[in-house]
Amino acid sequence: MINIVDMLKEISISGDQIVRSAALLGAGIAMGVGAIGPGIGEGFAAGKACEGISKRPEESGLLTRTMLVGQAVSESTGIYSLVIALLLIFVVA
Amino acid sequence: MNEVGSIDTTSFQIGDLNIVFNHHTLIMIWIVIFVICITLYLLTRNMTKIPSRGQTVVEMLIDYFDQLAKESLGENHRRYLPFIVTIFLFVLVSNWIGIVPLMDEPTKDLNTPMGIGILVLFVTIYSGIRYNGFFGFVKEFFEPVWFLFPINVVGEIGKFISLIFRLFGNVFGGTVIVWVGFTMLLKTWWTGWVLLFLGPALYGFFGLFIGAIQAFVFTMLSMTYISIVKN
Amino acid sequence: MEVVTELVIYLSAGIAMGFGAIGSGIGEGLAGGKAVEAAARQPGVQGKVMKTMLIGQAISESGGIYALVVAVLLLFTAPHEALSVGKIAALLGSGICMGFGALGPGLGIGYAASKGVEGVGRSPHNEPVIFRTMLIGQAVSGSTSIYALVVSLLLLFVIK
Repeated sequence: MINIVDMLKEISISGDQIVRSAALLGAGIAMGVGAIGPGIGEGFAAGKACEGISKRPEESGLLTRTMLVGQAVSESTGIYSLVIALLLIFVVA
Repeated sequence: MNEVGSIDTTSFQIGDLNIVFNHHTLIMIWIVIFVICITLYLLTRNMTKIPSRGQTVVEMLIDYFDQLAKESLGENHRRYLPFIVTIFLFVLVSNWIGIVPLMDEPTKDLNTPMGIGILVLFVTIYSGIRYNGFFGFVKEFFEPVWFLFPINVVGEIGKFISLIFRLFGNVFGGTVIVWVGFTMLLKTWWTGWVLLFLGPALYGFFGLFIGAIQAFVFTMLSMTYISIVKN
Repeated sequence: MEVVTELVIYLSAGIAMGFGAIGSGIGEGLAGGKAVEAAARQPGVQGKVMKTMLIGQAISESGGIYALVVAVLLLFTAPHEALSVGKIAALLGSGICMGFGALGPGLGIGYAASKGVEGVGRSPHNEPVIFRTMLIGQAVSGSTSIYALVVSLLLLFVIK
């Protein structure tokens, strides 16, 4: 049985390393958790567009365009997460 | 084992400039172009009133996209038809060529989807200015309220970033999965027999199925993005 | 120090696959449920409903497959040796990134698939246009899981 607490006490970590590791972990969390919202929201828009087309198929072009515009707007938070994650990886760390 | 997804490059120095060529991607792109041109030439060489089998395939393809373009682009859709069918054929053959041994998908390299995506972006801006005038095109960004301008710009650029990354990520993810599957299965001797049956299934799903769906989605989205600014 | 690396690798692979499976699982279940409903209402359209359901589910699966890829890469290609603290944090981050990143898109794509199946079951003669819209909508909502995959692979392979 290895005593992890004793092992962790022996490891000395400088402040720079803590900042770097926090930035890398933060990049993962930012992109991971940030992807949840846009994923669900855009899927909701797609589902409602399918429902609308099954009711009024003659308006399919209009509905598809509206769906894509709405999805592009909700996509923007996903893009923000991506930008923040890349900044944390390449600029901060 | 960090070589997964790496791309062969040649680099040389001119003065202070370090120029990098992804020569493997470039060669694959030229092979794809030759495959498309030769196939289309052979299929439509002797065009007749009663179409042969090859001619029927090409006519069906063109008819299908003509119909789609008419539905989404409205008037003047023929102006965009060659561009759209070219994108579709190039992306489709690019995604499919990876199942041939010793060949890689050019779309596995981020630069190829980015090139096509930037081309679509330019065509979109051009048609927005052409059909709405310059001020009409810019005014779209200040709708419905003027302070939403930054969000509109991010949304507009985000559409193309996601278009590029979607194609790249799907193809690249597929190659990583095939690579992981093959390396894991080749570790022991008996799994080589499993590979005989699983290998074609992996390539079939990630190469053919996902490749075809992504090519279609890329084409449809490009067309719809053009139609959004046009109408 | 090797123990810490191994601990983080196994933890991270578990997080990636565990959370990554939630979204795809629920989404595919939604699509399957709507398919059963549609087939019960109109048994004659079962073929079209099945085709829409299977392709919708295959796309909904992609988030889960990416999570599997990251988990397998973590287990088999990450070095099991003493690493810098930054690299260890990056390994943990890549698992969290892909695990949570696959959750939302899986759910959303599954919802779109379920609505597509419902629409095909209700008006089978409009199947091509509903199917096309479903495919495009799903592809767009899947893009955030692709971003998560890109960031996760960056953290795995590019960070030293």
